Amino acid sequence: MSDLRRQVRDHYDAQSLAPEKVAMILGLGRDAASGNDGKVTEIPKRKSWGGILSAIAAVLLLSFAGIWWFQRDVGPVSYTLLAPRVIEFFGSDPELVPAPQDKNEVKAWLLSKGAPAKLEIPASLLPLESAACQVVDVKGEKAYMSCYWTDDKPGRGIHELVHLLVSRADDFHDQPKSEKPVIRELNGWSFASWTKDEILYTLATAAPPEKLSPLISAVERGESPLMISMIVE
Amino acid sequence: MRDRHTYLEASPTTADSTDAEYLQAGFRFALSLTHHREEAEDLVQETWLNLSRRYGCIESLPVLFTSIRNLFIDQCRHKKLAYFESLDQPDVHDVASVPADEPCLKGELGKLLAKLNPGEREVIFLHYYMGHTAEEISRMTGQPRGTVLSLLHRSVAKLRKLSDDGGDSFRCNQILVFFVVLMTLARTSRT
Repeated sequence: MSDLRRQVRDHYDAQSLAPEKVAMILGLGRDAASGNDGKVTEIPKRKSWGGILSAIAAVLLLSFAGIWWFQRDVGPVSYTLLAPRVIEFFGSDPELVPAPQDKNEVKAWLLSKGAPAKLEIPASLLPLESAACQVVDVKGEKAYMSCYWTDDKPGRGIHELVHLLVSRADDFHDQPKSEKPVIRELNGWSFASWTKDEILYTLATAAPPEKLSPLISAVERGESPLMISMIVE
Repeated sequence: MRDRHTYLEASPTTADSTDAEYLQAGFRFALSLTHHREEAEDLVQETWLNLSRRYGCIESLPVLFTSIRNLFIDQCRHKKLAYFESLDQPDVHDVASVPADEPCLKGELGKLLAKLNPGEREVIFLHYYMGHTAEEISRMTGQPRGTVLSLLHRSVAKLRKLSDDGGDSFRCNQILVFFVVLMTLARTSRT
């Protein structure tokens, strides 16, 4: 044995763990081997497809719930949306229901679609030729529409039509509260709106406001449909 | 001391005497890496508990040594400690074998070993204390045999240089003390 080897051995042999330390570590080792040291080595779990599918389902459910939340009917919509919606409606080649000439039948049709029971067709529209009916959706709220010809000349078009839209006043806000028509123009269309008996009436035409003037003058005067009927006769 | 072959060929056993011997050997190996008693105690204890928890027993001494070494490396990484080779050290290439007879070092070996890095102390311990050959050390540490031999030569050369420097400084100190005593005696004789 070389001197260096003996020297190294003497050095390390002089270093040793105290017997009580050895006993302690061996005791702890036995506890660890039997799993009594309180530390549990967790076996990694296999990926659960059920868990992944549940997570995907939860994400989809939350997405649908979010979409529903943002698109749900949250109450009255702004009256200012009505005019653009009407213009958009007629710009999209709508399907219209041919209307009977008897205005009582027109009213009955509108009522059958859910129009307010106290609906009255303005007296000035009664002598006009009925054109069509339809229900227009304005951001979830319904506007019950009937259309009338203001002229009977051949080759008449949309400019000769006037549209009456009837809605419940509660379904909108910002609408005119008075019974006196308020006129508004938008993109070549004219609108005259008023509220009577909690019903919002809107007359619309794809023409200047002058087209509506003779029709709303009777409303401004407060003439009843019956009176108009008498005048017509 | 127990012969190294007994450790290497020992069958799995839970006998306390064998475990205690393993533990002491593991502690000394840990000490060769850390060169710090408390750190070595902590290192061997943590390794022992990890192996016991995982396998229920300590299968063999090489397993214990490898685990201690791995944990030591992990701790160094965690503490962001790095040991660098000095570029001033002459590298030894193509060493055929380790000399059988190495003369004794001057000075205290513990202080000399403190100047080596853990890798150098490890090969010194494994070769000169445990009696492993360079081939066995290369298998244990995962280094090529030539690297192990080179490291051994360099470590011993470093120890010897430190030892000689320490001896020279001791001699210088002795001369200085002798000179101071002479001066003091001369002054007292004048008075």
